[in-house]
Amino acid sequence: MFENLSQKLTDSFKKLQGRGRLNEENITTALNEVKMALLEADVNFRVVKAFLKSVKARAIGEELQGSLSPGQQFIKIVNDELAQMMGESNVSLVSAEKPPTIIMLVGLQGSGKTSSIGKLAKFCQSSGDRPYLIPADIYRPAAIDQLIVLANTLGLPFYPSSTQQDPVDIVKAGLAEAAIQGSNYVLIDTAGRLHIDDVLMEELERIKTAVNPHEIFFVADAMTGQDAVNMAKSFNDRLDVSGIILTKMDGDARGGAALSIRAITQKPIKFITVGEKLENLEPFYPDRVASRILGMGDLVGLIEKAQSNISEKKARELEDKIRKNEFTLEDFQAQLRSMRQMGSLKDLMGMLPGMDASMMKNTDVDEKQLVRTDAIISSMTAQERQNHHLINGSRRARIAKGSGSHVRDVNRLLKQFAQMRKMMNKLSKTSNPRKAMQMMQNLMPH
Amino acid sequence: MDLLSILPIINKYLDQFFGTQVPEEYVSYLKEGEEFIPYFLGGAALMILIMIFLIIRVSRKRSVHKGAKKTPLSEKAAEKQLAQLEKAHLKRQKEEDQQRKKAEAKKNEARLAKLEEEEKRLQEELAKKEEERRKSQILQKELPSQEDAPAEPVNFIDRLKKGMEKTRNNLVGGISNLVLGKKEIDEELLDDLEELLITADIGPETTERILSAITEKFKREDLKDPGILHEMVQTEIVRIMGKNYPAPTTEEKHPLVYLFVGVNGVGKTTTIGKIAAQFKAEGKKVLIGAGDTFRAAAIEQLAEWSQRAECDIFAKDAGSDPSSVMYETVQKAINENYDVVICDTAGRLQTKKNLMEELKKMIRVMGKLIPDAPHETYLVLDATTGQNAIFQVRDFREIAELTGLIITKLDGTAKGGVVIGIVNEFDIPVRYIGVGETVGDLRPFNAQEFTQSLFA
Ligand SMILES: Nc1nc2c(ncn2[C@@H]2O[C@H](COP(=O)(O)OP(=O)(O)OP(=O)(O)O)[C@@H](O)[C@H]2O)c(=O)[nH]1
Ligand SMILES: [Mg+2]
Repeated sequence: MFENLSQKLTDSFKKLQGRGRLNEENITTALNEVKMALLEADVNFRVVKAFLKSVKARAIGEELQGSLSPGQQFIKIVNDELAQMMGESNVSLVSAEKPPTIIMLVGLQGSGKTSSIGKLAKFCQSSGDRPYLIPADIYRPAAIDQLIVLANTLGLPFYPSSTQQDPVDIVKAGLAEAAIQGSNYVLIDTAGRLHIDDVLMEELERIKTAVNPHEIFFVADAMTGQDAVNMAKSFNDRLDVSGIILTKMDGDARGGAALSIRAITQKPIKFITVGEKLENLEPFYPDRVASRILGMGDLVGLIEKAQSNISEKKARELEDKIRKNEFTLEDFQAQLRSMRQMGSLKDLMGMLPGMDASMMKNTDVDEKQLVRTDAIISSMTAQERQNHHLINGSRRARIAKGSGSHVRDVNRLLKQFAQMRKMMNKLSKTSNPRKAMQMMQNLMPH
Repeated sequence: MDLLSILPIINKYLDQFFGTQVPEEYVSYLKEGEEFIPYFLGGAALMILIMIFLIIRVSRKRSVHKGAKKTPLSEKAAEKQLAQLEKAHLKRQKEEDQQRKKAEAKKNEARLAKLEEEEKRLQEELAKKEEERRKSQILQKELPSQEDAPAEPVNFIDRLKKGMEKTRNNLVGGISNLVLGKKEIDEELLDDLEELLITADIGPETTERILSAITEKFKREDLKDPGILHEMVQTEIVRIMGKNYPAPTTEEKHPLVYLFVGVNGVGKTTTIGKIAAQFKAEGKKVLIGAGDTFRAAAIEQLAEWSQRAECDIFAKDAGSDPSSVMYETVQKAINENYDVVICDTAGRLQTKKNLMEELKKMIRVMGKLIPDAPHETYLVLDATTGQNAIFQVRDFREIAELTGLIITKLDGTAKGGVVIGIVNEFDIPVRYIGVGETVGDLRPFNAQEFTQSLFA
């Protein structure tokens, strides 16, 4: 459904060859493509208009550089502008001069506040802090229970709220209790509410006045549409929030709401959540979300992941081996393992620009297969791993036995490995470094 | 899953980034070989390769960046330059290494001097950086005023805020206000109409379709009066949304089995509570099944709703297999002669293959007891959701035969316009809308009302 934006932009500049300047006329089509992409991504209409104006102002008069195609140059402007608008990256959690640091989460129903509290608690816990949880959602059935279950899972103290109490009383009492417990972070969960619900919005103001939180996070669903600006504006106007948490980023929503919310509140997006597990909380990186909104993958994220697992030296060694067709089963196993540390294969591939997450949805991998492959390779001797040609019939039987699989599994793996190696070898020889470099320059934030 | 099925994407990617494709010969392996390389092996191989490329290219890019000229290079020359730069880089590294060793040897005597020198250098660098930063700031500030000289505020936020005000003032009265005082349909009117449709989450594609249908009609029938624009847009939307689909009744199916599915937090459990109460009020014997065994306290939440609706609930422990809950719920309904069974499920993002498989299994086991169960499968959509709702419908539809949609949270300011495109494309009716958090806040869907509220 969505053709890659960069392709569309390249097309829209087809007529524009060689040198010259970008001008009002020759960027019209491109601007329209960007507009459509942003609207598809749920960026608010007004925000899109204002954004296009900034891009236009920056693009017009820009001299074309021969090293980049006009389309690429334009993408770079769009990408830069978008990342800049998204604000600083990775602004960390504040910590109060006088502990405890009080953090309150607010937002609409179903946006993910309670589970985000769990994740923040885990986040604090793993950096050695001692969080205390206060459930102050007395409205939604079993909301208090939900937070208590999370607290128990994490082994953290919590305030045993009752639905009969007033949320302001709950929070005050909870805070006193946290002091006794010696906790240095207090996380307050509030009920989901509509931004137009005056009574409930006022309740939040009362809580705020009563305990003066150091952080108030507006929790927003990454799938939110055009209304994101209205919600965010109301919550921010009434509570002066300190930051934003964007949830459900593990789906395939493009997350344009991030831009809308950021634009209207000017508050930093501090975290994103990427799954239902307690550890699925990540710092926010503006450039990544920028390319996601534009549907251009997350190359930066992928490179970062790759670099943290494979050194440049190792990469060069491997490339060399592949070029000489010397890539061994041992190398393969090591790479499989480091890849598994980086995330699921599907997630990794989904980070490639041009690979829309929706294209990848049917390509889920049975993780068991990876484990099985690993087991088979592990049952080989070091020599066999270095040279798979050694592996004859009797060795295959031994390997099968050792790894609890069938000989035909071993056969299949060896055959597939040989094919795979051949393919890698071919690919590494034909790849065009200049083209690769251009694309890279174009997509990397500067 | 084999690699062949994602080959086109892989090729497009490789072509764009590396100027290469999966070799023909290899493709024919995939096509003809008796065994396809499974996706995970082939995919792993490609990812390994791509990551190796990336790491190397990124570091190359860095070294190239320093001395790069802006003239375009031929491919060969570029290659050569890359190689040279790499060599230079290595040489430099070597030199640096040697220097460091020397410095270490002289470390003690030179320590003070070196520190001083270093400090001076750093300070100079800092000053230079600061100077650069100031310059670039000045440049940046000058840029827009030079080129565009907009009369409006240059500041993005001010512009946006101003825009927001305009939206509110302009659109309060919806379309009828747009056309006020207009003699004909002009660019501005169409622009405003576009904004109206887009901000209702109707989405750029559907919006374009509606707009072009209307402008065409105007041209074809040589219409001039913008006053009828209002009516035309509404008629078009009501036409899409107003199709009538009969729903099964308890007379036809007994027990009548409902299944609720959707992504996290959209309002499945709450809606089940409301619907159960409605059936109950009609005098039906209602059982709800606690199929969300995953989310913390989901069972307690549904139990509370069953009390509010005064109906029965079947639940097992948290963490048990949701399929077995479904099976036993339906079994109980058959044994104890319930009229209606409503099954809750855990929220799941449509991109999670394993969770979608789990859902498939739930449906399968229900079918073992009643072949055509679930009779009604409702996908719950949150009105605040934007264009992703399309993907939700598309993907859930592949797993379950969706018979209806429910739009929740329409008591807020979000319009839920995305369903227009959905109903149009997938031909699934909207059954109910949720307008609040209490038992009574569920209404049957009404196309006329919905359309009016889009522009209210
Ligand atoms: N204002 C409003 N809130 C609603 C509506 N429907 C549901 N909610 C609220 O949305 C929140 C989430 O609802 P749930 O019923 O728990 O959603 P769910 O889909 O079952 O969520 P999970 O099981 O966690 O995936 C709750 O706070 C509900 O009270 C509605 O129509 N209007
Ligand atoms: Mg639920």
